[in-house]
Amino acid sequence: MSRRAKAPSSPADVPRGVASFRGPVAELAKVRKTVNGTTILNDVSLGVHAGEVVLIRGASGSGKSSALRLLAGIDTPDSGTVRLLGEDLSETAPRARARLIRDRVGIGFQDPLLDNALPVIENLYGLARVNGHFSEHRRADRERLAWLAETLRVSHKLHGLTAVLSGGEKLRLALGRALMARPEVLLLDEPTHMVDSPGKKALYESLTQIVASESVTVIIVSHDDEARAFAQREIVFDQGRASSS
Amino acid sequence: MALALTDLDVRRHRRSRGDLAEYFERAGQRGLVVGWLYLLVVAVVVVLGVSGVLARGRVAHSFAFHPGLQDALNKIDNILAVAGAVLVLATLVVVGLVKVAGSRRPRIAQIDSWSSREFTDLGKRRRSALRGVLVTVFAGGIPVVASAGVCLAVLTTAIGTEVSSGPNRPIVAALDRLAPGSEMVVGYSYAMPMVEDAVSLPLVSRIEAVASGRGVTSHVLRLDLGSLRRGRQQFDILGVGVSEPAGSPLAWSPSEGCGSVPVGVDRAAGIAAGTAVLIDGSPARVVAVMSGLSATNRIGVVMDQAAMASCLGQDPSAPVQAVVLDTTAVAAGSILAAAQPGGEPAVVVSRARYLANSEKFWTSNVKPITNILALVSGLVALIAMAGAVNWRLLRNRREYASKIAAGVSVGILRSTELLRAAKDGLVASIIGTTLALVVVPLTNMTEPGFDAGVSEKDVLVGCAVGLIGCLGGALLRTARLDRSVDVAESTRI
Repeated sequence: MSRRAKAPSSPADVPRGVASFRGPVAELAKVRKTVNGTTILNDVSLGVHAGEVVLIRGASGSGKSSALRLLAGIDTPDSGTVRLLGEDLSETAPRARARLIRDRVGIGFQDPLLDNALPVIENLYGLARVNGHFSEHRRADRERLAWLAETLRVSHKLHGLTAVLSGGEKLRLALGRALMARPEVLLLDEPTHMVDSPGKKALYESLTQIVASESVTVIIVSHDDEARAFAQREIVFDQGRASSS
Repeated sequence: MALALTDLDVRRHRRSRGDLAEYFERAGQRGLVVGWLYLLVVAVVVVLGVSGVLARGRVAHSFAFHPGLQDALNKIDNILAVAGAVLVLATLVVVGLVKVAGSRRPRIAQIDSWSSREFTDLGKRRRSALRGVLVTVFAGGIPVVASAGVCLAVLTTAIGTEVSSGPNRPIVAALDRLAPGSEMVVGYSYAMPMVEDAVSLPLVSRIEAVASGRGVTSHVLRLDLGSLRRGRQQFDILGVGVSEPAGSPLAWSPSEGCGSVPVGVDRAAGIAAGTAVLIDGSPARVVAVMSGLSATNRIGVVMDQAAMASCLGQDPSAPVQAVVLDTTAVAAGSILAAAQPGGEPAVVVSRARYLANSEKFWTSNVKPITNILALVSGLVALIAMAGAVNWRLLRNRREYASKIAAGVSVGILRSTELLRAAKDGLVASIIGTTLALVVVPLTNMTEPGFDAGVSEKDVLVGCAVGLIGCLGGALLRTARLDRSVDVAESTRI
């Protein structure tokens, strides 16, 4: 990943726990998941280590999004173990799980799920602010906000209404929202869903800059060629089973 | 090209055919059950109709009167007024503290910000004008239903207050005009205005004589429940005979005759000074337009009591309503005892008791009903706001789900909704009360002498309804917010 060397560094120099993490930061071990009698994940095992950028790809319905949602704590497996940042999610109490996600994980969904009626800037800092990770009184936070807006190419629309952004801008804004709290792990589910090729390119360029300056572990679900160029490693899903390529 | 089917394909095909047959069979059975239910309802209606229950036009059941229930209902407006005062102050304090705390605590500032706006725009750029009105006015922004609830509560409370205290208004005005005096001789201890009374004229004469001998001022209260006619317009009146000093426009002497008796008429009748009218068929002229003299459906008319006795066709020996004595209760009792050696029916009651008798009567008659209406308006506001919160949760479920997925606690989202409800309650209280200030006076056009107005208490009852409705509705719908928002489902496309 030679592109990382050129990227500017994040303004916030915050100590990060993931750098000293031993073993996989995200792990599925012999996971099974069945929905309405259909097996979505069949004995899936995978592990992602700190600092890795991993692409999960596969055909529609192969189980790749389901695997990511298990790692995000949104779904629970029927059997097997899901570990995130050393925590067994099925053994963790809901509040502790929410705290883990809130403090250490960033999530991006297929649909950006932004607050369209709010200004762009509030979408960028709102979640981090309510979760205690952003304060307008802290200079470092303000600088990070400006840096993310600049890097994600939405700085010129910060005070406009979110609803009027283009699809690509919304996706970049959603990415900025996920990154605002300086997550150790970034989970992205089809982040370029329904965006044209230039839009995808713009998003991955921005993401590359950010990943280069922050040692964030990225797990991305996508079947875009642009994503393959961005990732260091790929895990391929086929009919509920995972294999590394 | 022939298809080569494997055993698996054949099994799937058979299973699919079996599933379809089962699906259609179940749908058919459901239709059959629902059809029979409809027919059962028809049968019940026919049986009730034949048995005559519906033919009587109404289904009713008389329950025995429950005085405890009436007492409880009579207190509801007072309880709501106190609750309103407490809730308004508490809500203002909470919203104010949130604003102040938000300047130092970013998390609170964000909750405050989220609580003031919708998350979703529901495709704002493309929606139709009608949809825009629905979203902006009925679902987001202005709490229309809660405002209507507040307005209705203020209206019913104001009407309740007017109906229970209105009948006293002309008597209080008449007594104030007559003379100071806290004690009254009346026919019986439960006597009250608007009801015929009977203090005989001989007894009145003796009371006046005894009182005069003891240096106590006495005044006769003579009422006339008659009519006033102006052209083709006719009003029921409460005529009050008063002692007017010479020189007063209302003063009358027998030498003037009954051709044009000077009278004062309440402004509720809308009759200007100088207008010729007929009082109980006797010609009179309006020399003064007064206020605060009318009771519901009774226009207050003031005239000289001698003119009332001589010109309104009253029997000169007819009993009077009361004799007012300007002395203490003990002295008044002594005067009455001295004046009724024959034990004629009469008692001394205080002016306050006389008026309280009236207020209690009208309160018992009307207030439980108006208070029930105030309660119902509160209940409607609560249900409506619960529905509005539910609709908002539904509308914003994906935005809520994404926040919960990102680790925002349900408690924070619940706080957001409750803060929004508090703000809605305040807005509804302001809008509803403002509406009531317009609507309540309009009711005065429906009946002559009706003089409903919005008091501080009515406003507080309205605020209680608005705030309880909004906060209660939000509490009901957000109690299980985590179950209302399916995070896994709502974050999928």
